[in-house]
Amino acid sequence: MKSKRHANRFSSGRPHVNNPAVSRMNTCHVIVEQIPNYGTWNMAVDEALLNAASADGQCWLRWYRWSAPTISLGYFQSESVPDEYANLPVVKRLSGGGAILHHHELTYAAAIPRHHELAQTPADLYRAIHDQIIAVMAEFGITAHRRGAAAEDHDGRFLCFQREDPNDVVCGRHKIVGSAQRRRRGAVLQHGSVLLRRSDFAQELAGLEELGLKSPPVGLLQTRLAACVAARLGESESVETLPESLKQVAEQIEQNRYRTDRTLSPLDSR
Amino acid sequence: MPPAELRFLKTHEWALADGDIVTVGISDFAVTQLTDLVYIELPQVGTSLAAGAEFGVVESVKAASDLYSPVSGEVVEVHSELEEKPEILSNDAYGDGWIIKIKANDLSEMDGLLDSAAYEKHCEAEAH
Repeated sequence: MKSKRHANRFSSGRPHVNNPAVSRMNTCHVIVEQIPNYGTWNMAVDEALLNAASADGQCWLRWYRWSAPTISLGYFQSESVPDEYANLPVVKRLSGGGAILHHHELTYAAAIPRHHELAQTPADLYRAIHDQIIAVMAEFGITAHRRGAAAEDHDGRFLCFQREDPNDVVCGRHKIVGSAQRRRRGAVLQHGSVLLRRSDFAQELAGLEELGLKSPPVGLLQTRLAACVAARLGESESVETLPESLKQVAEQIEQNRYRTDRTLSPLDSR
Repeated sequence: MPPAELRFLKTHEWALADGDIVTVGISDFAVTQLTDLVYIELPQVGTSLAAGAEFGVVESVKAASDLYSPVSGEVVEVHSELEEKPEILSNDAYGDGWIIKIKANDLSEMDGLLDSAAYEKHCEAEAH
């Protein structure tokens, strides 16, 4: 594993972002992927990270993008996809919640072990990560907050970003971050999506660009988000590439679960 | 304290043996931690389970959680009403909220589970 400690890559000299307790000094391995990847691989890697958290007590944070517009379904969602998304690749997530249209957005996966202070209840990790994202949004000129108890019940809608949950990150009335979890033997995988700009496939959903984001390079925003979220999860250790052992696990998972999942139609190419 | 006659996994499933039939559910503590349950995925009757194996999934507040079998054996009954009314589980975790019944291969596996007092201590440790 090629890695560097937090101070070089993720130390930015920017204003302090709330960082209470730093999770009793877990080491949080951080991958910020520069090259977008396809859906089945992305989901297989995240499951491998959850397994590493569950079996080996590791803590991981991964930020990534998708190589083609893709629908990821929540674990309990029906496999029938509305007509407007019928030509897009579809993959089923391990995590719950509604479907995500991965197009002009950033995705993260945080995998934390059962002994982590944020692993006890679903709300703990939602709030911790979303508060860090909100702080980064402020650095880039976006005023955002968690929706809070005023959320209405829209769980029947297909897309996660059409639904309301108290833990959503919103800017005005626009949802800009949504997250969901899978919990396995006490370890937690939290998936989340940050909407960057409006997609042609879901024109009713505004992204950060439409809400006034001061157009930083996406890579800069992604790196800053990774740094601040990782700082809340533990002592950051940046990892340039997925370790070979985890890559092999991900390849097996992809082959056994995602490539054989009948919801994956049409399959995108590697 | 949780009911004294039950045995528990650290992953918050409970087990109650009646002869070689073991009834399985999840604890009140787990239900409270997860808050409102909205979906549950159950195994089919006839499924063979190893002790500690996944047998289902529940979802609450967009958090899907795996469920684990306390003993090895064959699933002989499934509480399928939970699929339509998962709130039953929330309302009565140790009674009407039972999830599956397993015909156990080896009841001595129950001896390796936590008793009520030990499970309560485990929950207290997790809560802090």
